[in-house]
Amino acid sequence: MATSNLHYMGAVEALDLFKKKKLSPVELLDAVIKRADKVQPKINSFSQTFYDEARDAAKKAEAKFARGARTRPLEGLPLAVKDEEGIKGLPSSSGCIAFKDAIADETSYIVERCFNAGAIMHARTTTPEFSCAGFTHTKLWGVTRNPWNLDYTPGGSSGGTGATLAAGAAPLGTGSDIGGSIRIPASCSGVVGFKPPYGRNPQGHIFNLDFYCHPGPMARSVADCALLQNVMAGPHPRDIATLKPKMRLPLEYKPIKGMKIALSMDLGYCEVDKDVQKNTKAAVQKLRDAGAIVEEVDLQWTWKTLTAAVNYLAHLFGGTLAEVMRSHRHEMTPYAEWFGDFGARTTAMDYIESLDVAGEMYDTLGPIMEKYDALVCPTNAISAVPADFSPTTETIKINGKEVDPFLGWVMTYPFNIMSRCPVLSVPSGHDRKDVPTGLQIVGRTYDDPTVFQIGAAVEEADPWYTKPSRRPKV
Amino acid sequence: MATTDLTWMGATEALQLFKAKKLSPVEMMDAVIKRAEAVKPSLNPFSNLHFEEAREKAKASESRYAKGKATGALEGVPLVLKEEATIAGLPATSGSLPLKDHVADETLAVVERCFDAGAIMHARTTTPEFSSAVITHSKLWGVTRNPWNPDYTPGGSSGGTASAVAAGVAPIGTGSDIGGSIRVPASTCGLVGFKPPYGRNPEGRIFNMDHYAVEGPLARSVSDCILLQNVMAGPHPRDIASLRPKLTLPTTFKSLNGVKIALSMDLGFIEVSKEVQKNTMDAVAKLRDAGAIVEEVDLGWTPSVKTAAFGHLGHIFGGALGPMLRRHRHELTRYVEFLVDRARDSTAADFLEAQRMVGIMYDTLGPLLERYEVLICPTTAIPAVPADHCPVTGHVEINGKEVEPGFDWVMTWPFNVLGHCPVLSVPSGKGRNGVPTGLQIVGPAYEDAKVFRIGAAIEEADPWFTRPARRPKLATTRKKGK
Repeated sequence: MATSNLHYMGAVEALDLFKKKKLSPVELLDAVIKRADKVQPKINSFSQTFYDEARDAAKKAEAKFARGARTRPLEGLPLAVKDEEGIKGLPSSSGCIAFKDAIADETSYIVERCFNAGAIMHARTTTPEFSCAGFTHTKLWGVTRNPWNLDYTPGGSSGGTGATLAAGAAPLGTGSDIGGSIRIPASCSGVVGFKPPYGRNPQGHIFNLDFYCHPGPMARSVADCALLQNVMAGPHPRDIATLKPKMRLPLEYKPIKGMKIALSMDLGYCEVDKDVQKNTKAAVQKLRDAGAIVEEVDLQWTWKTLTAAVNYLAHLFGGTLAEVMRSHRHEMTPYAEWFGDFGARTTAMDYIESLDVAGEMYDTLGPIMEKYDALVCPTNAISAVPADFSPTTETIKINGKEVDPFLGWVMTYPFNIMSRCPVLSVPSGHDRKDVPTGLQIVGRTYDDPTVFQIGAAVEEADPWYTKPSRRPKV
Repeated sequence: MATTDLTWMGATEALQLFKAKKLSPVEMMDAVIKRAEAVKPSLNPFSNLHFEEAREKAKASESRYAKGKATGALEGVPLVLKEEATIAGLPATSGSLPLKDHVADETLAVVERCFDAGAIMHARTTTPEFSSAVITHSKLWGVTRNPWNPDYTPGGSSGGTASAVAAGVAPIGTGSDIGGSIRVPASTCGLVGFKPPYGRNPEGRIFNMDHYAVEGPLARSVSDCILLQNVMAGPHPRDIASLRPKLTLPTTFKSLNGVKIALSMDLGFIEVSKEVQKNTMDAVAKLRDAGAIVEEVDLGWTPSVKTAAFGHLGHIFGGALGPMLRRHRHELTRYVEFLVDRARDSTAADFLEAQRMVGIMYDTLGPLLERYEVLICPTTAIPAVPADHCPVTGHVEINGKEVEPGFDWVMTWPFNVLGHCPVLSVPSGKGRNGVPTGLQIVGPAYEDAKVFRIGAAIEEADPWFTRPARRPKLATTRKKGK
């Protein structure tokens, strides 16, 4: 690959070239940093950079490859780490100006695994405040923008990671997802994001006990995403909920011929934009062309799903903000303040009711997943909201109908409720504003490999980023 | 075969004899029905009886064996089911007066599995109201008693099942456990009771979303417990949390030579009676004789564990039963009223605090279970409380100290907080009052086989129920005074 395009090289390919000594980690990092410097003024996706430390680490990795030493699964690969992941000794602000001087005393388990696997963190990426929204802007870090169209959000809460990947400022990135925060930015930014089944990847307290919540990988290709997922996954002695044994995904995929895939365009109740519908149908056609049988199903879900998710999230996740609210309300963003307030009003009954809805949802999804290998649906109902969207003061209309400004424009949170299902979001196309749209591939509980296999089939028909014409012009 | 032998025969042995056509399911069912009738007046463990249907099913089973047809893993084995385990078309009262006419419209997944495996339900068993206590009495069903000493409780909330199984009414029974409700009755009745890891056995709504709550087996032996557990386990299309793949437990285990076991007598903060301590050390001696290395450890846990556990349970029970209390307060039992009242002001903060406690507890236990095979501790701090003990106004004294009457005499709920850990309760001995005591064997998250291996070794050193001297004496009339 020409040096001018080196920053768009994928992780799997780079590792292969490192091993063959045809490329040095130093070269790749230099290209990535150069690209980052060029795009940051526009997309503003970094909360912190570590270019000097990263260069030192890249030199060490280069030496390892040069002398043929045994190398680790992510040796020498630049990694963008979502700022929300604690790193011992580094700032842990949650994007809130009240905590801009807070320092983490422990490194998150998945980040530790990435570091132990030889990944090189050159930057940490922006999030909304307390990672509680589907867009990425804060008083602390400003507005993060979508490389495909700077007027729009790259999504959230892992929006900094999404924008970074799409812009070529890293080949791999971390995310976390409690209502859609890996998949929303994957969709908005035109990259691949994986929400693993609950328990697959370790988390710290207390979110490891919240079945809506999962850390996971983001990348520009399905194989790169699997590469990173294989490092993150596996039981951990400090996270009681982690599943045993460790699951290892293949990086190459068999054809999907003969697979039976269920399609739900609207999950039974969502308003879905025309461009999203068009791109979803195009993705479905790719699956049919690859030999899969795709049939529309009726999930019979309703807006109760949204109410349940919002109540649950506000109750627990919002509940964690109660203390922050007491002393720092006036320093918080309006959307985080709204979330904390809403949480304080929810009751144990609301929480129980949300669990009831979860049961009802699986009453239809469960039998469908016995009949089909996977379910596909859009990731977001519209491509993206504006980069500086304010849900407390602005509205969203889809097909002329107003929807909930927090979660009404995304279709991810039902699979935080159905969280034992693995979900891969892959790009499905662009909308009329050139903002990407995404497809969710939902697998049977704990059946991670199938969603990667199907994602690979969609990607194979139309790979993104491999040519300059398939990259954003930032 | 003598009726006594059939009354006390285990399921594993019965199945072998059924297959060899040396015993008919009809004979066994007749024996256990007779036994059920004999113990009913004094123990009162039944919510409903199904003798006629059971006899019919036993005949059909007999026929299948006779014709050499395919048979399920529990074909022809008598089974008692906790009333809480719903069966479509049958009463689902939860032991509560306001629900006395309520009928279930769905069968619980684990029950379906037992029936599909050929087990025959001849009786359903009592619980406390809403299975919300570790004793078994209710306004609807009265007081259920312990076959070893009817003045005492068989524990709860699966107390009816435990009383029945320990009395020879069935070799196996189902229970559920959200704070100790399989293990406490197993302990007080001298049985083997298994609390599987969260997700191992399919659970009904909404409790399948609560990591404290699981369904599990009770039996008189480790092998029968394994037999039933292997039927209950496995993913289910109605329970999204159910784990894949199905975990099938082995039936034989390697010796314990060199195996390291951690012992905590009091979990760091619980008052444990001298006689339970003694019985626990007897169990430790058996493990050491079997070659294991048993070392005392300090878990560093404190009474905040209890606050957390009941913060969580209160939130769930309070949320779920709030409306029931509002509409029917005066028909409910004192202990349900107390539990739900206290939980009324339960906030998300209380619930989150409970979640934090999981992390704090597992910060020590997790790494410990990397170094040790399992952790052992007592199941209950005293053998049992009286059968009619009120969890609100009763008095419980341990080592001269007064403790809270609801849950301070049991040591099970910390392992519901850590619900992903498998826990087996096996008998450890008896108290002065003749009531058994139990030992909890706690394994690392999702590693079920480890706890059965340890339990099997303890049982091998000293099996219960295998001879008349190791069984409760038939109690057809209540003994007074003892």
